[in-house]
Amino acid sequence: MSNYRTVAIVLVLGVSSSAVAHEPVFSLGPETMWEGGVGIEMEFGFEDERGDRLSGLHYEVIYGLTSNLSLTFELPQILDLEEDGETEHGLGDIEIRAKYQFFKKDLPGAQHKITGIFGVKAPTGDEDAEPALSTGTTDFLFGVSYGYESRSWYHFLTARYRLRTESGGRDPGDRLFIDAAIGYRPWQREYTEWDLVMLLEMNVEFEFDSELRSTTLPNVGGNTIWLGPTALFSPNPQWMFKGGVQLPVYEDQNGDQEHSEFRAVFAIEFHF
Amino acid sequence: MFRMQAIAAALLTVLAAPSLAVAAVEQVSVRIDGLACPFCAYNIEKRVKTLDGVGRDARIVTSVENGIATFPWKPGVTFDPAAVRKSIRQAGFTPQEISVVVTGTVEFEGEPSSKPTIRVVDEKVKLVLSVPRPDRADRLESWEELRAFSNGTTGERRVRFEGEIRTENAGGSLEVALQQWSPVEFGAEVILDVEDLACEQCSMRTMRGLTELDGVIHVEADHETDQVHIWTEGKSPDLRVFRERIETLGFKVTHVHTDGRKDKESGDE
Repeated sequence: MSNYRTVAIVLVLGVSSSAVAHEPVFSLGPETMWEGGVGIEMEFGFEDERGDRLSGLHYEVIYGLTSNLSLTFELPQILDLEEDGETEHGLGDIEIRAKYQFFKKDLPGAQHKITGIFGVKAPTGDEDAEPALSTGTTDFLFGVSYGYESRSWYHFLTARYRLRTESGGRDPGDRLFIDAAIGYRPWQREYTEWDLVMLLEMNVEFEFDSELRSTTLPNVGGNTIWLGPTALFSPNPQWMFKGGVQLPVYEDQNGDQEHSEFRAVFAIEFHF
Repeated sequence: MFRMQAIAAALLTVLAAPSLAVAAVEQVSVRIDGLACPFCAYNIEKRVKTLDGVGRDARIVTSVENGIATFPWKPGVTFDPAAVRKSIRQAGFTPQEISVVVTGTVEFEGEPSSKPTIRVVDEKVKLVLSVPRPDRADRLESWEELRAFSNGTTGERRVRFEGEIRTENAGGSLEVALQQWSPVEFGAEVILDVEDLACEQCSMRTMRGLTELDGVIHVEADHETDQVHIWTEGKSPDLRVFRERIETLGFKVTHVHTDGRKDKESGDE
């Protein structure tokens, strides 16, 4: 497997997951932090590709500049990256994201909102490691997310485009994510009480062709549809535990690539 | 029950012609749109506690079901509805009506005007004056007179008060002056039993939907009793209009009461 595939795996954990409050676990949603609010999140992610494995932690700090503008700083730590018999660990590429909620309609007990997403990923990880812990490129993230949240039901629809720049003759393919999720709160809970929301998330991921010195790499890129249940549990209004598992229900990979078995995420979030 | 008592208290206070009430805000309640989950309600607590009149040690009671946050207000701090609303917006929600519970001395002066003049400076602020019980204060000697006005000698009429609210700091406490006031006479009261009025949101939706109708002065819906009370201007309201509107809202009227109000009202008192 090429380093490109490794980098792609790293990015899967780095981009697909992590969120704020009641958002999909494997995507980004429209939530922003309240003005002056701070959130800290630690997330454990795991993906298995028939022998090749990736496990890592993500550390996030979220700050609400205003009630509709939040900034997120994200640092991934690769705990165990195994590929073609070689293993590596270390810090990955940091990312800074901004979310701006440009539409919000509040109703009694419900909220519609649409948020724009912009992010920059810097190549701070070790590109020369075997396998590599960085893409070696500065990438940009553009997205828009719609969400409906009510006392019982949640709906999310998010589109994200990751623009991956060229570096050293390598031009990794851009990635497009279309994410949909529906959630349900089975028990109506009051403030300070525990709360549970269950979701079903579907993520459609497109990875376009990658090139090395203007030559298309045959075994990189393709499309995958992930599907699986996730859950958000808050024992009180400041802590939230969230996690889920997804299976690749459809794969159309270029060339000869290993197929993913599953991926899983578990995260702890604290607000203050 | 509490709402009825509060309205009754405000009503009776105003009917006593309280041209001036020197009082202090003790408690604030804000109805909030967009509040859907307990975890998100923490935003409200964080922002509201930054208000000078609230403070970090205050206990914020938030009802997610009703979309209402209630918190105490510090004595001596000027009540500022605009600041309260701003804090709710900073939390990521939309503030609606604000109710304040005010306590203090009520001075009786003058007689009720016969000309309804309704002026509301801030239509989203509802003033609820908390007055002493009639059996605990000798200055409430006109209590019976007020009861007579609202319930008895002049007929089965109900009144509601809306008035201008002027707030300013007065020696460390809030001075609330009811400058313009007037009773509004209700022509009739209709009580409807409504099926599937299952939640507070349903009640609120019903109240909003009925209040929009011509001739409707005031509506109260209670999902616990499955009843909707409608006060109208005219003495003979068209019940079909109410039925149709309620069905449009997704509910069904199962029974109409025309004479049950009095017994219930006296029980509240």
